[in-house]
Amino acid sequence: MAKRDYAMPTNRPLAVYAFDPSRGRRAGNHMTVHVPYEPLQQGPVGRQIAVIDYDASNDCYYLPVDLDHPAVLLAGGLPPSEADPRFHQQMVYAVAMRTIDAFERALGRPLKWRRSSMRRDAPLRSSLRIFPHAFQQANAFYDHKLRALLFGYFRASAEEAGDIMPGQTVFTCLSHDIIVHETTHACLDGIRRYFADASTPDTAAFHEGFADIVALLQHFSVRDAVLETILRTGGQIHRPELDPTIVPASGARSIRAEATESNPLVELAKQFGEAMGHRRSLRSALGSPPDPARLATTSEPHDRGAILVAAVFDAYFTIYFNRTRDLMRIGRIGGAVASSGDLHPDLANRLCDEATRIATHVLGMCIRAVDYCPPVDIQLGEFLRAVITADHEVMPNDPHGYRDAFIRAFLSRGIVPEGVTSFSQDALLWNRPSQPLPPCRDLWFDLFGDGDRDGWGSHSQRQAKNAKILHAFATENAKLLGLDARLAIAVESYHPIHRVTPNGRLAVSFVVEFLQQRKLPYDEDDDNGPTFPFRGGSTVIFDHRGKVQFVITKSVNSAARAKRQRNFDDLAGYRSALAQFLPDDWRQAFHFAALHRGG
Amino acid sequence: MSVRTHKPIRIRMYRVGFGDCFLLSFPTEPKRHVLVDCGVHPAGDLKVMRDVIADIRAETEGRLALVVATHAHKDHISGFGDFADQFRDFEAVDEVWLPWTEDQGDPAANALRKKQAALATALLDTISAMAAHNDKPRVHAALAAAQNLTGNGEALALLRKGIKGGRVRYLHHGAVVDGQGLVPGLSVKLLGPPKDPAFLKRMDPPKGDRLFRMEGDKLEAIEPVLPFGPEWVDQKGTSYPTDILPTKPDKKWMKELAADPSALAFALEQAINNTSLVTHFAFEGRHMLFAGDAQYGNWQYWLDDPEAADILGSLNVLKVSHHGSHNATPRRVVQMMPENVISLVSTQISPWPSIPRQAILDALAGRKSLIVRSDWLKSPNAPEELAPPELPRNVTAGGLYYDVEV
Repeated sequence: MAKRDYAMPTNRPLAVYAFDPSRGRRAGNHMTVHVPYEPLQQGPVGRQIAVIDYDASNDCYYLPVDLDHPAVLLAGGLPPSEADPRFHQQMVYAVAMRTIDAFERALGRPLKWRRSSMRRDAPLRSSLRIFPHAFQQANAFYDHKLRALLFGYFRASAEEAGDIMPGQTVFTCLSHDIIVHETTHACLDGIRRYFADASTPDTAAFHEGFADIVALLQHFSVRDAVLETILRTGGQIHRPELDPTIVPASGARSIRAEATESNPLVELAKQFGEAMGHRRSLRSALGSPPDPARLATTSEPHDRGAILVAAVFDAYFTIYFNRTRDLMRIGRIGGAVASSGDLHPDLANRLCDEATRIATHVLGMCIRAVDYCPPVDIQLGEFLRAVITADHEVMPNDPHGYRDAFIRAFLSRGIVPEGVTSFSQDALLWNRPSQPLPPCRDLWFDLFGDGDRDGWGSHSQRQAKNAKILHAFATENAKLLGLDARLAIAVESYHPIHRVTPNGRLAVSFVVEFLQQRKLPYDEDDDNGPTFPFRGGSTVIFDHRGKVQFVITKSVNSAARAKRQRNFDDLAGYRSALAQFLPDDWRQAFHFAALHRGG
Repeated sequence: MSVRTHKPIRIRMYRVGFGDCFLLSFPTEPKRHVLVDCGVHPAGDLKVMRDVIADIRAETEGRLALVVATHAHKDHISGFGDFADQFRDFEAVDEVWLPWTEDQGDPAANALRKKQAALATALLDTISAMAAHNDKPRVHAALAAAQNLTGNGEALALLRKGIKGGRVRYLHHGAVVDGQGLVPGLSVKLLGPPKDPAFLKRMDPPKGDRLFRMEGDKLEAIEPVLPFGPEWVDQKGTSYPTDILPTKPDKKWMKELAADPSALAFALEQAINNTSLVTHFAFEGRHMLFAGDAQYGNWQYWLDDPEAADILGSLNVLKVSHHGSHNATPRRVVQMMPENVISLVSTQISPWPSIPRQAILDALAGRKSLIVRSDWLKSPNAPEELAPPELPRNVTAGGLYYDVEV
């Protein structure tokens, strides 16, 4: 009899905590996630992630898990345990992979990490390293220099309230929230490298806020955790102020009524964030009534980040309530719904389906938008334009009002893009080129990852050739691309975007970052004094024929931007007399490590 | 018709080393004196403080109308601690002013100080140990910052007692003091430090959770923890594929990320600089601004006020903040000042070679400011020898000081 291979499964089930160990088994805390299957070495070490359990504080390693061991495979991974480091390794792997998967699905391409300085043949050159017990410290962060996620552990003090016992060791790598948050920093850094350069309050706010949006939406896309809460707070969902059939007086302000504090989803979002202090602060604006004036008077990056998080969640809740209107009405016909009491399990299930499906969709909208962001110096209002444009490209009409919900939510939180004529969807789309540009021909993209055609040689040769073509194109058309022809133009990145349009066609476009840089003196009148790199450039979206669709520009000659950056640096103390004693790349190190430590 | 000419105010800028000590003598009858700061950094100490205080005593006959202690850093107040006996020997000190953050009756200030002090002490221990076997400039700069933060208890105790039992005021932005009782004809306005929650939040020292932690009231060094039993430890990582182990530089960087107290020391130094009293004196048409070590956050708080333009626009004397360092004199301040302002720079290139910053001095010179640097004065223990320019008529050099008449 001929021997036949088994079809390899597409997913690998792995047990994780839905929150963190302090909740025990409550609220679906023990759950199973399904991550894309890949063969793994001990660690686990896979295609994109290498978990290496090195502890710098104790200068030792901990034994690695073998997720391909039959005993582990049969049980769907090791069961949750605080005492077994191999479960910790499994959990960071599973949750980080799930986050990466969300990015890859939304972007329509495999994720690439920020370029590494490692040798070309180094085995981990294309991996993100994860150190689940990197050091003894109540902190966890992404470090771009190591291209690694570093998770600390620490001994809980008497001050740590709640479910944690004093003297107990707390592991940041067992917090679902923290893993997603840090993985998102790494993913975002791989797409927009200079967003890590906190050049303005908004740029610093964006990295933090975005990481938290992904962490929260990932939670909402996990059925078990949401269902439990929807069931438990079932009666609450039908409180009058949440009742979608009671329309508040002013349509434009409807978000306010729907995001009242009694909204259980807000409470849920806050609970998700309890694990660590700084993440709680990012969620501080959730559930507060939107105040368009607040952003203008808020300069601290975490506080601005909190406003971004709140705006996205206002949009999410609005969509949720709009899309569950019919279910509510059906439920009321059944008579199962009162102002209090349990929800019918079928209705709870359906509500939960909607909540998780919408969370996945909103998450996709946010991630796709990153491709449509400028290459440097992102402002919160620009993120709104990117969301609208990216979503418009996938779904030209907006049948369920998703984009509308985003626009209203952002405006009511005071996040207003600069230089748009109105806040209609049309006006918020990024500008098309003002004059027709010639197409950029002869770019070659390996659509199916399978290869070597037409004598284009290896992947790296192709890349080099594409970079050359793009560089020539940018030099020739500098002005129309918002670039300064007198300065060097760097092709920072180019990526294909693959997606299926509503009419079932495969659409391919390319997103390219062109970068320029000037050295500006900190003191405007002191050309000999210390300088800072001032960056500008354009994100250009090409269609599959090389025709320019959008040009998203940050001029390297903008005096207003330079001024804003100088002011921010002053305030943040980057220019303190003693700052020169910090390491060369302290500014980025400062950004992640220190922002995370700050209370 | 006659043009009324005022008798000059004399400002005596002592050269103590890296530190501030200014004696203002007002031409009242009898003369009244105000002392602004009296401190020197241990790493830049010219060892003349005893003589300086003796000179102050002689000059004032032991009677000070007012002592302003701008902030709790050694280089501004060490004299009140190291030579407390000399100050106790004065005849009278009418008032002592301190920033509100030093007020022991203010719960917010207490909480802030408690954290800052605990962190500073712990930092000094740790960084001293590091510096003993590390000659990186960064570590020694951090050590100097940590030294500046600690050991100010005795000086503060004397100041809080009003030195000779004088009235003690804890002041902040917006306070106006009628100086009439202190010096007839003097009016005083406080521009810094701010006292609002957003500012306070920035003042909060960075959490030292890499090295130290607050345990109840006190800061404790973190006890090392081995998170798993020895049965889980693989000392050399032999169970991993050898080619994926972190390299030596990787490990070194991770250890640095795990415990690098230098950045904490710099951040804390800056936080306390920003608690500086920024004092505006007006006396018979002359206006003087003593900015302590105010850095950007302190200035920024009031520079947008409409009154900032008036205050800076009518200035005659500026005590340049933080020894002329970068970030302590915003460009706008220089631009808003009139020409010919007298800029007093109490400075020295040791212990921090980045101070003073030439660009600041150039910017001031660009406004035709008359700059007087304390370290031009010859001093036997000075770390460097600078050639002073020709001094204008209203500036005279003494053995320990420059006298500037306004």
